[in-house]
Amino acid sequence: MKHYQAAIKLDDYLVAEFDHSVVLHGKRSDQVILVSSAVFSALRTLNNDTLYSLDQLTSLINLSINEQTDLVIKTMVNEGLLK
Amino acid sequence: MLVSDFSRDDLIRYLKTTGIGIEIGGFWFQITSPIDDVSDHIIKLYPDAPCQLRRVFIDFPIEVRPVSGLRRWFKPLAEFVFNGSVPFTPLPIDQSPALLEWGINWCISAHVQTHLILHSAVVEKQGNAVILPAPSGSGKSTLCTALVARGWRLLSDELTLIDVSSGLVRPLTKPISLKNESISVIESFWIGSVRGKLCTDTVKGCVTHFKPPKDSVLASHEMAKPAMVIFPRFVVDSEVLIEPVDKGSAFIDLVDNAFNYHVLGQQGFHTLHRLLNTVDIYDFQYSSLDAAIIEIERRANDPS
Repeated sequence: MKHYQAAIKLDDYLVAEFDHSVVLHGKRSDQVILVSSAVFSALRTLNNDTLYSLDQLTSLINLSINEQTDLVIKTMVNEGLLK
Repeated sequence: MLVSDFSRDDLIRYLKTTGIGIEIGGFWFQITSPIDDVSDHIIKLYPDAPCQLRRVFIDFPIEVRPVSGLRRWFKPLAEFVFNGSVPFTPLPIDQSPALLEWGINWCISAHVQTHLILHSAVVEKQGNAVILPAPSGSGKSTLCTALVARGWRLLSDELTLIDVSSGLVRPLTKPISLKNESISVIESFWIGSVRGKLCTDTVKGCVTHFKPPKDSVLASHEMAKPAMVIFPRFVVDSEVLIEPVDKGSAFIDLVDNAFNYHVLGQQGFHTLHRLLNTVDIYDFQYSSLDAAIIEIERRANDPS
């Protein structure tokens, strides 16, 4: 069964939160990432070193946000925020 | 002392020999050039700029001079020299005024790290600075010039300098660069404007520079508080269309637009974050300059 893990540690990023989106700036890498507020909220719920099944992930993210969980997970995978 | 305090003959003599210190946006340029077009450009377009003959501290020693060698007899070229080195490919000598202006912009954008530098025009009225970031050809400089022609203070037509400590915009008031169709548009729109020599066949087409208003030059030490960021786009026959932009997307656009975001690192992030928390941001499409100005002034007076 496929398991997922957060691909970035939020502690490594500076965070600029706006109304609908969030900008992350890598403290060491200077990498700049734009994510939706929903994706950012999902990232915040994940523990960095934990592997999650799709069900676990869906359940976790579902608890914290109102948007379509499937879409959020798909976006996170596509953008390399989940591995 | 201002440039206009010198007689024409004296100024040309100093430019050809010792050079002359001219303050542009708080930076001192020691400018030397034996080329008449450069002298004429400075006399005509920099009359209100502070200058000193024997200034001790200079930020940028620059020279625009003819390229030596056999080539000068059949296709004379001019080169921009900074601190003894030549950073650009030489250009035809009749493009010397444009070479001087591009060189000055390069000095600032490549060396100043106390400010976040955006590729953007910026104007101010009643304490509200409006930043106009956009790629070349979007109508940014034309709109900026039109606003200046209608009483807005020019801070810069090309480089917006945001102080990383205060978040305020530092003026870099110098001649406004316009090209191709924009030149005749502004000549009709801004009655009484003064422009320099037309430099034809440059990499950007036909280029010239317009003299900034004296009030703007004299106020070039007054920082301005950013109030709006407008991404302008000229579209033929378009109505004025203005719509708010998601601030996260605008952040990314401004990172791409900045000359030194990544050089500043975390300071760059904090400077942009503060900017975006204090301004309203819009995408702005226009064709009529008058209609565009009315809309911008309306938004500036009543952001809601």
